[in-house]
Amino acid sequence: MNDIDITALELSKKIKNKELTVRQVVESVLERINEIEDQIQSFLFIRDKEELLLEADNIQEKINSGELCGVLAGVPIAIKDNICTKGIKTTCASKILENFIPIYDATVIKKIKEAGMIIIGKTNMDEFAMGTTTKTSAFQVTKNPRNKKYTPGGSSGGSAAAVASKIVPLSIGSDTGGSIRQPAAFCGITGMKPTYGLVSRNGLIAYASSFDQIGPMGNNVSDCAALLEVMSSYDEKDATSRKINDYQFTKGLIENIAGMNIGILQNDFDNTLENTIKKALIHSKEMLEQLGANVSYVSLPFTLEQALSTYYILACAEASSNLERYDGVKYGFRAKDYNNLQQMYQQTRTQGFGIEVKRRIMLGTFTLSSGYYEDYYKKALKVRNKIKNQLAQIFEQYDVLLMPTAPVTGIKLEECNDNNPTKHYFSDGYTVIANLAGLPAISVPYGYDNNGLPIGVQFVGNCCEDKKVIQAAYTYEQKIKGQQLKQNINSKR
Amino acid sequence: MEITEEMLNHMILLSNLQLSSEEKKQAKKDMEQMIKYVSALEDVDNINEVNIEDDANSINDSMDNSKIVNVFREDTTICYNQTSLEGHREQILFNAPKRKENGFVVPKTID
Repeated sequence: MNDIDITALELSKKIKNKELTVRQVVESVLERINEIEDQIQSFLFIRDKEELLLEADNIQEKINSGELCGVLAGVPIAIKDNICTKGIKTTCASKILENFIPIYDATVIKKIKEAGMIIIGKTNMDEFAMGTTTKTSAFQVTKNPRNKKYTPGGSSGGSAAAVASKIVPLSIGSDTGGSIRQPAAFCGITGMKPTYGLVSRNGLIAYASSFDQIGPMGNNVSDCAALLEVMSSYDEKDATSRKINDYQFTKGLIENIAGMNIGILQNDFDNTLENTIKKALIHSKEMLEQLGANVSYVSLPFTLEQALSTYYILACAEASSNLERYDGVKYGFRAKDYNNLQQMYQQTRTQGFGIEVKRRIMLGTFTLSSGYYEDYYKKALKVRNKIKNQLAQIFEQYDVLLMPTAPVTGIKLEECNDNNPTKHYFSDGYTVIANLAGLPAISVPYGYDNNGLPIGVQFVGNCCEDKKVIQAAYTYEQKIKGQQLKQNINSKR
Repeated sequence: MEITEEMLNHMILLSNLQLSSEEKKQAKKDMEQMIKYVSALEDVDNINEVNIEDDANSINDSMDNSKIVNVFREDTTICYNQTSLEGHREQILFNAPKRKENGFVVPKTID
């Protein structure tokens, strides 16, 4: 799969220069799927070969005629299975939506189709995006292409694995508490959660609406910036959509951070931060200083434990409300045996939802219930507000913050255990900060640890300063290139 | 915090779930563990300095530095002819787990 071993932007350029046809690109994607997908299991659904080739030819014609001239025309892409695709099954990796076929395209899907990108298939994820390992999927276990004993992270684990195993150069994920950035870090790719509201959530199946944000995943910062440019827009179909003046995020691809004020996070979570990641941050500090940035350590005035508690209380509360719609009436799974309406609801939900989804619905129901609402839900709202204000103050002094994406470099598949619900919650500790305040954040690879697992670090910026975040990450990426240890993803471990 | 059987049953009912007695034992354990996990807010002080008027505002405030207003749009009217109306009806019913003619089938809702 040499064709896909190049970036999305290079691929599109080669198509434009007639060095490659869109059909050849799609054929090589399918070839790569044949080679590796059995081992990785990143896709829940792959589109029919003939249909894909026909679409490739149509797009080729439009590129030839000049009708399609965008920088990602002809580029194949994989979509997380919680984003509605017209006529293509969208399951959220849940039995309750096993046979659900949306009758409309999400706004982001419309936009990538307009840009001439080709949807190859739908990727595996944690059920309803609730998880950090992709292991809560009702259908299959996705493996980390860098080391198959490990999970790809989650919840957008399939989207990360599809890019890391070089099936597609780009994919789309969603990030509620780190679900784009953490799998990107675990799989050694780049993933960005834009400012809340920049990408329409219309057609994204809701988990926690005030946190959920769709974002790009790819091999480098440039590809992610280009995809974000394609995906983002104001959308009246999303009441939280945000109008900004300039959606040209590729303008942020400037290799210069001289004079930029960068804060490096000092907070640790219960001493869980792995030493290799600590060292990566220290080394990153030196590199950023060499590039002319003013770098200093910064401590957040709140603890990561408080950020995590706030996140889990609010996200589960919103989830318990959002998931009430799955009642077996209008779409989705309906249980077979019931005597009355109440039983139909209960049986449908009990049989349709997996254990982690049920747990989060029940926790959310608890924090919203009479007697506990003030102490949990309302208090968490206040703390969220306070955290947001504190971060706003920090960004008065700093342009961007650099922090670990996850406190560990990976989670072993065998360590994922249904009987310990909170075991992996801590791995969201650094990522939830951006979601709590709706901030832009991008995870970029630093290198590898001694076990060959990728290390990811993230740049977090102030609200709507996505371009600045891209600029910092792009400059960092250029510096780190060549210093990275090459690792063969086909190596059998 | 201890989750009593009464609390657990109440949550299961509100969540529209049905659990066996074995599953309830596990759910009680899980809930207690999760509630303990999210208890880090107990020690947050000075929380009263945060001024929130109501919950909806606080959600919006936490996203935005500028003032958030509700998003409204004018109602729009779409006229359907018989054919397009049937097309839309088919779309709406397309994913129905159980349907009869032009409606969703559900168990009897009145006694």
